[in-house]
Formats: sequence, structure tokens, C-alpha cells
Amino acid sequence: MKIWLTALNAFCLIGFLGAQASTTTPQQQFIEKVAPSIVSVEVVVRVEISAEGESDTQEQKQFITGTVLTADGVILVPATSFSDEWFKQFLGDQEEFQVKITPQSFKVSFAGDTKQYDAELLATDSQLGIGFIKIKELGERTITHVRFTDTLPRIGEELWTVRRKGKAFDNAPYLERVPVAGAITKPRKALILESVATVLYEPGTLLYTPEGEAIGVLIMIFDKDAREEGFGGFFRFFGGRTPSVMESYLLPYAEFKPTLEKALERKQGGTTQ
Amino acid sequence: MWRNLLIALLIVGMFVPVSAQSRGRLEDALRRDMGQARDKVFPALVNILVVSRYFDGGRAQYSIAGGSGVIVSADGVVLTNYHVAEDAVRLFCTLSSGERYEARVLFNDPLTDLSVLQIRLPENAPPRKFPFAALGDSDALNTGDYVLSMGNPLLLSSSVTLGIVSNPRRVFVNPISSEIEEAEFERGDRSGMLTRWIQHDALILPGNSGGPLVNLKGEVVGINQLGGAGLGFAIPSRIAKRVLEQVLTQKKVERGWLGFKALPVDKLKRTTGVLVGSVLPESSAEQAGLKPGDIVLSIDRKPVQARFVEEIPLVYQMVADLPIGKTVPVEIEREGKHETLQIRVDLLEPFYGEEDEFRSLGFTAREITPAMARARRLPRNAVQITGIRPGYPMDSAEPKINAGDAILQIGDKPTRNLKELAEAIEAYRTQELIPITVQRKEEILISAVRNKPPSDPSPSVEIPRAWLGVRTQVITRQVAESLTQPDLKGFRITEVLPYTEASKSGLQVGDIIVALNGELLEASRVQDARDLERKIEQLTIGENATLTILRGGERVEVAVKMEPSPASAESTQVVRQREFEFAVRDITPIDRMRNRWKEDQQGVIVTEVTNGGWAQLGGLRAGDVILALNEQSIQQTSDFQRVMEEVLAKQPPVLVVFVMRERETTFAFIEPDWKEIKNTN
Repeated sequence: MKIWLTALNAFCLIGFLGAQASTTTPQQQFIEKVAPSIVSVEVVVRVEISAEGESDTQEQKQFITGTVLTADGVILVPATSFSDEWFKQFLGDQEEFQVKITPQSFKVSFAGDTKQYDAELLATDSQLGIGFIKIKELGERTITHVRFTDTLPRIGEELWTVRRKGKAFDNAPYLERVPVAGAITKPRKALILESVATVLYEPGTLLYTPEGEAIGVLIMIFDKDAREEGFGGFFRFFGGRTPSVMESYLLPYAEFKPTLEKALERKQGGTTQ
Repeated sequence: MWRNLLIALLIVGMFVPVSAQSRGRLEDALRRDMGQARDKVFPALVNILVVSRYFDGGRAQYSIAGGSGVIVSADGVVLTNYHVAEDAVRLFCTLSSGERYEARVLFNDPLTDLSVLQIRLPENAPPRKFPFAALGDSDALNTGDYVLSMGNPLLLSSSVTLGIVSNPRRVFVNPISSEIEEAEFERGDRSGMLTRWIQHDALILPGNSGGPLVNLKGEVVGINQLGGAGLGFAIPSRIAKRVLEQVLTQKKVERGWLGFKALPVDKLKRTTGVLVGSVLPESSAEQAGLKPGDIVLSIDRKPVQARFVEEIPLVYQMVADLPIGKTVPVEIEREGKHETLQIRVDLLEPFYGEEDEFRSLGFTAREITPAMARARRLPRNAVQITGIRPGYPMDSAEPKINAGDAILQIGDKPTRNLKELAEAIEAYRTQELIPITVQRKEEILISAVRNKPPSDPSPSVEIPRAWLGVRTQVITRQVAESLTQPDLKGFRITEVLPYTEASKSGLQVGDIIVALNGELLEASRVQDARDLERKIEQLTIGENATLTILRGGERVEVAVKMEPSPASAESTQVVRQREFEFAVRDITPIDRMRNRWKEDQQGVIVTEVTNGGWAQLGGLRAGDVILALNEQSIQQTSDFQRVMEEVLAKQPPVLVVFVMRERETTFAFIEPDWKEIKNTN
């Protein structure tokens, strides 16, 4: 009797422990691996709009999401909120007025940490709509950064990414899955994602394999011909399925790598040139 | 019968020319009177240019605005609107003769929207008598009287328009509640309680503000204040005279106030007295026992009557003229019984308190007056935050502090006014975290501000890409066939940009690039347009690339050095001029290329001019190329910095900036207020 009871207890215990082990899903593991490298960045820009010698200047603050690329604090961010060159592409040639955007400051916050870390602008790539900033002084803090893979995503493959809720939700991370829907070769090689991603995600968002390796970065590509059609293009941007003024695409790591390397060169060569 | 008809015709014939003659004489008389009125007042008309300091976005900013005014005394006293001269740090009055003088504000009266200025003669200038206009009697105006508006509409100097008085006693009324609607100007200062405007239709436009409304005798009967849609409104000269008298004799305007709101009695089927609509808490009226619903019959033994809303301003004017501090008998009727209350006349205080910037923490704040505190349920003896500058310490307060919050204390130091606020901030200057107690509606919160100055702005640092200075078109199949070369593929050069390596290498418009570094270019469709650019981007800046081109049917190999793309080439060092608030950088070859300048074009490009800063006020614009400063040639930023150091040391009254602007040269004249610059720093 005793033996049977002991065996029964052991069986229950094994079952219980097994159950505990299987509650950590691959998705949760993915989030735990990737989320620490997703940060919030507060950027202040000065926007100057001038026409006929008069100008109006406003200072604006925005919150953008960044991804830590290196252990010493290089962070990939969307440049759409602070790149003057990017904005000029977006506006096109305007003779009646000029807009100048100058970033004033960058402050990085890590989830669960109330401290803000000052960062400086390292480089921008206005063609891709992305920028690189670097934290000035990390102090004692160690940070998690992403790892890249050269693997080319395939059409139909589901890529994963982590997003964060706002501050009121303690920046809680959550998973989103994005299927690769197609590929383009003109005007550059990139991948088409299912439309929800292109609407919701900022340039600079990294997409990953389920194993947590960054496989590509979201970029903006302008369709200059659509813009030249004027108002029709503008409306299509907001509502239609026909080619838009700008859309998001996934740039595979292999295509992104040269830009990343040039940005990191700037870090080594001094912060500003 | 025929004889009678003839007589009738003769009689009619006599009247027709007589009517025409009368009309002609009337028109001549009007023209003559207008001319005389114009001649009397024009010399006294001034065009006012104002440099104003205002607060927005948590910081002090500057702007230029213009308006009109009229000289009312031989020693150069000028009347204009308060909304023209408010917050002025510099004022210029230009007479119709073209002479320009600085002026200063003697007194601002927001309640009547009037300002009194004094023209200042330059130092060592001999004394002079200014032409001036006489103030007439606005009470004598009737509907239909001709009036002239004189001023500077749309900054067009010395203009006159003719109209008639539409209503000499206009008030703005809420048609349902029968209450006076006060006009609120940009800063929120309210006007209208005391004013019955002269409504007229002599066209006035922006720029006419502060200019005189003139009768045909050449007397100023009003100061134009508002206009639009064919309607104009002028402050009567009666009010202007009163303000002027007080300013010139007492250097200020003070008005009495009892503390109750007056409403007309017509709806109570009365013809006498005025209805008390409300009594302000803690006012002398409340303390004396006045209640809403009382009918005030007399004040200081003078009968009071406001049957209709148009008479309400007269009641307030009567109260305003009462001696401040005196206790006056106020006879009232309450529930059919008469009573006399003794009410102390208080000083009518301005609604808004003074405002200032606190740059180190990045916010602006305003003193809370008793009137503000009552109207907006704000705490007394505190200051209200009016703006917070993004990225500055106050912006990073935790928990968040908002514009509109009232600061009660900093640390243990009360902040009852701006002076105490400045002292408290100074006391905590070296502390990393500053505790701030604020009130938000009825809540009192404590927040902490990290006292860390903002970092310097980040310069633009575009990643450089290899670039070829040409524009191209794809040789599409259609184009190739039209050239009877159906197999032709590649890129035809449509433009060679000057001063680029491409131009130096001898590339020409019409050349067809068929290969790059030996690799054939397979472009034949419109969507291949960016292929050449993509391939060039992958090359190394500074290295030579070999282009195989077709020129005149011949294949030619051209070596071109790869240079950085224009966007990255603009990432040059920017030099900021802090005192005058603008920034410059050196000219690059790309600038010369883009603007088609000469290859040896020197100078520094103005990259930004802060809105409202001294540089902008002096006429400098972003995009200008500075060629010389105070006659010293500027070739590059090092010259600029050297000359600016001299300027800051010598502090000349004007900095003459010789610039190139859109292929023409011109001058900008920066005239800083060195005292203001010193205080700001």
C-alpha cells in the first residue's frame, strides 16, 4: 500500500512539475528575450516654418520607440519625427514655405527605470527614415541589445516583434506577429508586410525570428510618382489600396547592415563631424 | 392749354439745374472740409512699429507688429491702443513727414484699450515742438455725421477713409441675457465695461488700430480700436481725454470699484435705478450688505439710471470716478423698502498679473491677482504657470506639472509673487531635485523637478553615401525604339550639376551611361530609374568609378571620383550666435551647386533665425549669405566668430549685415537692446 501511495505521489509531483515547466510559452520567452532592448525615447524638436522672411518657431516633444543595438547604448529610432531631410522628402519641393526641423534633445527611458538617460544624435538615414542615437553616460547600468541574423525572410513566414504599452500601463511589453506578404526589388530590395503592420509601425521597428534574432528593419519608401499626382495621391495615402505616397517595408538585415556599419563608424570617429 | 403746358415745362426746367447745382456745391463743401480736417490731423498721425515681448511655449519670444497713433501734445505725447503697444520692449513712431523717433510707454490701460506714449528725442537733439491734433467732443456726435479714419491700414502709411457715424453709443450685448459682452484681446485683457463705442463705417483694417477718428472740424473724436466687415469701432475721445489727463497729472489711471455687477432694469418694468446682478465675494459692496436683486437708486447722492443695457457703461464710469478709499452712501430699494448703505470705494485692479520667464527651469508664470483668483477659482498669494518649455527641467517634473497649475511654494519658500518665485528658484539653484508644491483646481500636489539644464541641440548628421552629380532618365524601350536603337539600355544624362566631380570629369547632357565599373546597366523601364543611384551608393566615397558612356555613337570610358551625397555634405558645423539668436555655417560645394553660385563664392549661410530674436527683427533671414559685418568681409565661420566677438565687446548701436539673398544683395540692420540682452543672459 505504502509503495502504491508513494508512486502515486511521485506521479502527481512529476505531473505538477511538468505542468509548471510547460507554462513558459515560446512567445513569452521571446518577449523576455527581446523586450529589454525596447526603450522609450523622448525627443524635443524645434520646428521652424518660414515664408517671405517671417517665421514661426515651435518646440515640440514626442515619444518614440527605440531599440538598443549595442552594449554601449547605440539605439535605433525612427527619424521621421526629427529628420529635416526626411521631412523635405515627404513635403517635396515647396516654394511657398520652408520647414526646418532641428532636434534639440533625446532622453532614453528603460522599462521599470524612472531615470532618463541623455542621448545624442549619431546619424540619420533620411532615405530610410531611421536614425541612430547614443546614450551619453550609462553609468553602472548594463543594457540588453539585439542580435541580428543574415537569414532572408521568406514570403508567408511569420515574423515577430515586441511593442510596449504606454507609461500608464508600466510600458508592459506584448507580442505582435506580422506575416511577410511579398517582396519588391524596385526601387530597392525589400519585403512587403501585411497591411496592418505598415499602418501601425514606425520606421526603425525591428522584426525578429521567433527565436529572437532581428531579421530586418521597417523603413519608409516614398512613391514620388504618386506624390506628383497631387491630391489624389494624398487621399490614397489615407484610404486607398492603390500606391501611396509613402509606405512601410521590411529591409532585410543584409540590406540594412551597410547603413548600420556607417552609423557605428561615426561613434568611433567622435560623436559629431 | 398749350400755354399752360409751356409754363409748366419752364418751371420744371428751372428746378432741375438748381438741384444739380446744390449737389455739386455740397460735394465741393465736403471735399473742402475733408481736406481741411485731413490737413489738421495728418501731421500728427504716426505709424507705430512695436517690438513686443510675449510668452508662449514656456519661453519669452519677440515679435514685430504695427499700428497707428496720434500725437496729442506739442511735446510728443501719443495716444494709441493698448493692444498695439502692450508688452513693448521697443517702440518707434514715424511721422507722416518720414521722421522716425523712439518712444516709451507712459501708461497702459487695458480696461479702455488705450496706451499713452511719449516720443523720445535722441540724446543731444535740440528740443522741438511736434504737430499735434486736438481732441474733440465725442458726446456731440450724432448718427449720420461724417467722420474720417486716419491711420496705417496693412502698414500702408497715412491713409484716410470716409464714413458716417452709425451709432455713437454702441455696446456689445448678449441679446438673450442683456449683459454687456466684453471684448477680449490676445492676452485676454478685457475691455468694454466702461466703453460705449462710436460705431462707424469709415473702413478700417489691421494697422488702423490706435489711429484717430476725426470729425470734419479736424478734431479727434475717437481712437479706432476694432474693425471688420465694413464696421469700425472707436473709443470715444471723452474716455481718451480722461485717461490722458490722469496719466499726465498722476502718471497712472486709477478707477473706483464697489464690487457689484450692474444690469438694466427695463425687464422689471422700471425706468429708474440699476439692478444688482451679482455682488463679488469679499468686496466692499458685500461687506456693506448689498445683495443681488437690490435696485441701486443713487451713488454718493447722484441718481443712477440704467433702463437699457446701453446705459450700463455710464454707471460703471460713474463708479470709476468715485474717490478711492472714500465711503459713499448708496441708496437702494429692496423688497419695496428704501435703505442707504455705506460702501467703501476700492481700487479697481487689473485682471491679469505680471508675467515673466524663468529660463533655467523652462517655464513662464504670472502673478494671480484677486480678480483672477475669484474668477478662476485660483489660490491667492500664488503664481500661475502659463507655459512649460519642452525638454526643460519643469517639463520633466514628476508627477507632471501642467500649465495652469498654481505654484504655492518651492521647498519651504512661499511663492506669492514673481519676486518670491525668482528668489526661491535661486535658493534651490544648486540642488539636483527641487520640490515644488502646486495647486491644481482644489488639489494640492507636491512634485519634484530635476534641476538639470537641457543638453545642446544635436546637429544634423546624415549618413554619407557615394553620389554622382548628374540627373538621368532611363532609356526605356519606347525611347530606344524611337532612337532606332531598340536594344539600347542604360541612363541618359539630363543634367550635369555644376562644381561636382561629374562636371569636372567631362560628363555631358546627352551622354548615355551603359555600364558602371564594367557591369552593364540593364535599365529599360521607368521603374528602373533608381538602379544607377543604388549601385553608386554601394561604392566608396573618394574612389574612382568608371562609367562607360555612349556619346555621338562612340563608346567612351569616363573616370569619376565618388563624392558624398548633398544631404550628408550639409552636415557641416553650425555656429550659433546666442545674443542675436541666429546660426550660420560655411558654404559647401553642394551649396554652390544647388544655387548655381560661382565656384569661388564665399560667405556664411544663415541656417536659422530665431523667431522674434534681434536678428529677425533686424531683417536677417534663414538662407541669407552673410558677406560682410560692419564692413568687414566674411569668408567663413572663423571670420564670423572673430567679428562677432568684437561686436559683443564694443556693443555698437547697430550691426550692419551685408547679405546675398536670392541672387541679389541687400542689407540687414540689427539694432539690439544691449540692456535687454544682458538681463536675459
